[in-house]
Amino acid sequence: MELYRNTIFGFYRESDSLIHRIDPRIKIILLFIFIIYMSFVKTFSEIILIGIFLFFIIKLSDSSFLYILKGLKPVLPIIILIWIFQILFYMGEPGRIFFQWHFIRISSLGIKISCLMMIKAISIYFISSIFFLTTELISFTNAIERLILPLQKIKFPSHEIIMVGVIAFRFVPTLIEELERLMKAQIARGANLDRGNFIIRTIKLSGLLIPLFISAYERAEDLILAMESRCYRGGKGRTGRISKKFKKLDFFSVIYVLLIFIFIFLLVRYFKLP
Amino acid sequence: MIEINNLHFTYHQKSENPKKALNGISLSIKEGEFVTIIGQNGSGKTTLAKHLNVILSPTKGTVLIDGINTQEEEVWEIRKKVGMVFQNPDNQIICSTVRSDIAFGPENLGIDRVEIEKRVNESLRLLELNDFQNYPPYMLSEGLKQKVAIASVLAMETKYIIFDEPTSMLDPSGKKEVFELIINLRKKRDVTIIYITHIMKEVLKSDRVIVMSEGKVVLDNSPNKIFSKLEILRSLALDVPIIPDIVYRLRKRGISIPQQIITTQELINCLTQ
Amino acid sequence: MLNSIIEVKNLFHSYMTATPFEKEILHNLSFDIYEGEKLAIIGPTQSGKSTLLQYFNAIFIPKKGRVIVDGRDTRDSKLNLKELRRKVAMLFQHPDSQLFKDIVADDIAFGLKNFNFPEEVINITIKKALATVGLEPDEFFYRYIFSLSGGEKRKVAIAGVLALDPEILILDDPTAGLDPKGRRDLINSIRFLHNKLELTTIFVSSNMDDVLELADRIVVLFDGEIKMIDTPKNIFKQKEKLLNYGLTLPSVVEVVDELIKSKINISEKIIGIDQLEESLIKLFKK
Repeated sequence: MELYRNTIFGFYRESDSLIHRIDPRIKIILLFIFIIYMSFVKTFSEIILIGIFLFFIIKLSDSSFLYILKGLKPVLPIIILIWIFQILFYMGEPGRIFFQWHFIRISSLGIKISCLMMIKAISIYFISSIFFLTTELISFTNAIERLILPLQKIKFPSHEIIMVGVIAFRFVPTLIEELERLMKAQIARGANLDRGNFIIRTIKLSGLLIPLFISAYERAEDLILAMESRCYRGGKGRTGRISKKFKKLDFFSVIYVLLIFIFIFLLVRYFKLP
Repeated sequence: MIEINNLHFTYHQKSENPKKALNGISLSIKEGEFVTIIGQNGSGKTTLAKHLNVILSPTKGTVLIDGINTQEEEVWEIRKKVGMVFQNPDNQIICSTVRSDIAFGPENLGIDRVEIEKRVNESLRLLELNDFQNYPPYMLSEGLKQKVAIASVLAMETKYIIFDEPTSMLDPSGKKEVFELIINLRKKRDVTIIYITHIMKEVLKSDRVIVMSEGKVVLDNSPNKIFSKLEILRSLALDVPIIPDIVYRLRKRGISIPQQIITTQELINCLTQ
Repeated sequence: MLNSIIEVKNLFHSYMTATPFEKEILHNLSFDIYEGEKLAIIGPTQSGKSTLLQYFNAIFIPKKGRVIVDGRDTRDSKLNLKELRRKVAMLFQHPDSQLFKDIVADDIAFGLKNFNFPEEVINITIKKALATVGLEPDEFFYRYIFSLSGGEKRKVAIAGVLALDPEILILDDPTAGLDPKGRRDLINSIRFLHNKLELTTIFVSSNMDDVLELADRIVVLFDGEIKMIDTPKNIFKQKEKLLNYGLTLPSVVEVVDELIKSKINISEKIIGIDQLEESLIKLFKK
């Protein structure tokens, strides 16, 4: 029953590791490169090499492997379910077929591709966790702002979108705290929120949405007053944020990561590793 | 100077059940004053305060800030002069770190980046928030959050600051710390403070007390004079600080002791004479 | 002989266990709460007061240590938690967040329905509960929650748990944020409830005047440990210690303290305003 402290509290972790020091803009770009590269991965040897790469990143970022792994626990049943479905309903080139019944079949290639998919998804989860463990929300939103602000020139409301994002992020912990309070208050009056299966609990929890929404609405009203009385009127007349200059570390991290990926890519293709 | 002339205000004026909140208020607040406004919930304190930085506009009457009529000038021009700190610290911190939140106001003023940094640093220093500048608000105690809210208004360098029960949601140590910072502001900054509160200990420290009831000003005087009128305060369901209460009891029992005693120190002086 | 209604034995509490963020909040607490008493738990913010309260109605179940409520161990897997929570009424901080419906009667009915109270007694029970907390039943029954004042909302929240006929009432900083009139009203109704319904009342408060007015016994929590547990008289005597724990003093005690510091001859045992009045009269007559 400690929703709040078990989730958001642990998001960012203060440290002075190498990964912490990389410019968030660069980290966002690297994250994208990683995700794109993962979508091209087709062999287990590549996965193993990327696993080694991930291991070093975890070490360099001063975070704990077990801690990140624990975060997977709530979604594990869903991952396993998807994995099983993928094996059963795999439609592509089958390879060797072990079992077939109408359109359900278990095949060697089906198993291989489903396993690859699952490992890829978990790797992406790992790298994103490291990203959020090493990047403060504010530097993240600032980085996004820096990256999409140029779009303002084509009349894209960059500033407003970023502002909405900033406030939404800012209120996530507050709302989670509020939700926790509502849940406890209902439990104290005999509601069985902590019992029953996943679906029943979800239905019961949805009853909390209305009071939560009302309180969020009241907060929003207060917040608008606070913003207006501090002279906010959209992006008009506002001083922009500082543009951070890139450091040596940032350039090198991009070069290293690209080199590592190219190396893995060529190695696997050249030696035709499985 | 703030001048309020015959101010009336009605909520939901055009609806079926309009609610009269202010009923003919006239008063003026001089530069550099520290004025507290007290009164029961629903007496119109907050409604009055909201007129001073144009969150609300009068139904009747006028509000002049440094001679400028709030209904005629652009609201932003008035809000540059009058800042406001609200009751709930959770609902007035906008950004996700202390530092960026303090910068939010000055950024809206469109001033130079270097100047913003200077003001942010100055506010952080005045409120002793340096160690927390990169913290997200949800990791701070309520007292610290309220200090951030005050720093954020301070960085806008407004001439007047309205505080709407800024300590009511804090624990005792938070209350004390935040209030002391507010009274010390006057020593460090040339600022006029309009302070709404329920806490009588805080009222004792002000230059002038305005007591409101049912949308009207009932008393407007120095704390010593106000607290010698215990019967009126009690009839308005307001708390009475302990020393005036004890002085009242002693006088009733036939002890000759001056009525205007409101602090422990004054009582001690009286005892040692 | 005093009967223990809640026993806390070697209770520990940490959050974010097994992560790099682990933090111990309660450290080896052991104490008893007696039937029918009014117990105050005081301590600075983050001292673990609110966490401790949540063990009493089994929202938290001890991982290390034990909490025994009305003779039942909350760790017992066969324990009917729902029944326990009916006996132990809990009111959290910010009562506004405990009202889920738009109309007073519906909100009070929420708990009654959860506990399957028969349809025909629900309305009567709601009216009785409203009357007990001092709200005119016919006037408040159909009122919209948002139209209530802060003090009234708190009373509705109390009525919501009282309707379930509890034995223990737990309040987390009940008067925080109320105006003077609301605070006075609420304190009077808490005292009235205790006397009339003989509820064991456990409350956390940061307002020492409330504590002095309500408590029979006080637990001082600091850094997750119990530092003192005694009567208000004996606790508020130890001014230096309390200040060191980041607590404040009741206003009368504060004044007496200042008088003593200025070498005024007055007893340091004074904690009530009437006592102070009498002593000052003696001093002035001298």
